[in-house]
Amino acid sequence: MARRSFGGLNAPLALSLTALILAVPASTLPFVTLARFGNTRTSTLLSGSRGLWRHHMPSLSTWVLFCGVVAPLLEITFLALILTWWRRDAHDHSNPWVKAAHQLQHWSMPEIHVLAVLVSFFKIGSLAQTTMGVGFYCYAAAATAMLAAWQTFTLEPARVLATQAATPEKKEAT
Amino acid sequence: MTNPFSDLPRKDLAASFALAATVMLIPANVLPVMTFATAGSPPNVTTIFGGVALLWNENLWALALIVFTASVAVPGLKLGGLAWLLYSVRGGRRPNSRRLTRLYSMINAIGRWSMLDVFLVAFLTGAVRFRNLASVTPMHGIIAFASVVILTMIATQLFDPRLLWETNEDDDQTDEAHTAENPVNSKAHQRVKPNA
Repeated sequence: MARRSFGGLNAPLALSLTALILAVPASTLPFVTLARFGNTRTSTLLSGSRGLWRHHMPSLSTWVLFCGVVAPLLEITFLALILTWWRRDAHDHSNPWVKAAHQLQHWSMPEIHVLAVLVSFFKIGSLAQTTMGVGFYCYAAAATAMLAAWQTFTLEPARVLATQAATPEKKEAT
Repeated sequence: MTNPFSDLPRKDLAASFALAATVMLIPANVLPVMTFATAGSPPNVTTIFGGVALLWNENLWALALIVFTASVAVPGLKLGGLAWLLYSVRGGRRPNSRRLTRLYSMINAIGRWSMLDVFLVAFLTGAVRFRNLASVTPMHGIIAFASVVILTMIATQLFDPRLLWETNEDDDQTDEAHTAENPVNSKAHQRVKPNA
């Protein structure tokens, strides 16, 4: 089920747990601070989604919240749970979390969110004095840890499809 | 045993979603995506392409290139690629399976990067709020653009790359054609990695 390049299941588990821990300060601490003519405004990870909601775009707000916050959080949680489970027991291909984590991979986009914030920094550089907050650094680090975790561990789609089709399962120790 | 992966409806569904995305591409590029208002100057209403031009004019060429790639080139390439894939699996055709599977993998990998502009507008809306001094207001173009991203991603997920191999049994790549009979274990399918 898993393709591993180094560290067995320990490396992706460590990386996913790191991402999970970093998700806490990323979602609570200041993301970015803007200052203009003495006025200072601090925003958090959820400010963008809240801003869209305030401008009567609830569907887009929900979508941004899902792709930037909820999906990555669920994805990494599921991945950590799967890896913890597999380290103790035999690999269970029919685990619904495997399917869920695989599906969430498509919609989880923290790295794109990070790039968008970086582009925004340059875009508004002439408008206001911008300062990156600890929350942003934690979010970027969590996104990197997630990418690294997937580099050491892959859910093979063919296997996932096999599970969905309820074909005879062939458990293999990886 | 019948094929549990009913291909035909999925292919048609993928085509429907791709068509819907193509239609939505028009308002996404024509309508403004946000308004940048600063004290002492008229509000700056920007479209997707206008945002790229603005970055270019401010000599932020690298950023302009990134935004252009993510917001203009990727949706266009993705829809073009999907159209090619869907056309290739139409009856009677013998697609180049290997090359088209690679194209599918590429489309699957790059499609999500179009969300860059949506995240950018969301971030600016939340961050730039200085009452009368400066503010960013999202416009309806960004909803149309987000729908293009979602529709193309769903279309890609619905398209089954095994179709590229099923119509190619007499191809000179006999090994792949043989394994395509058992799609779950086919090399073609294993080559398509999820977005990591």
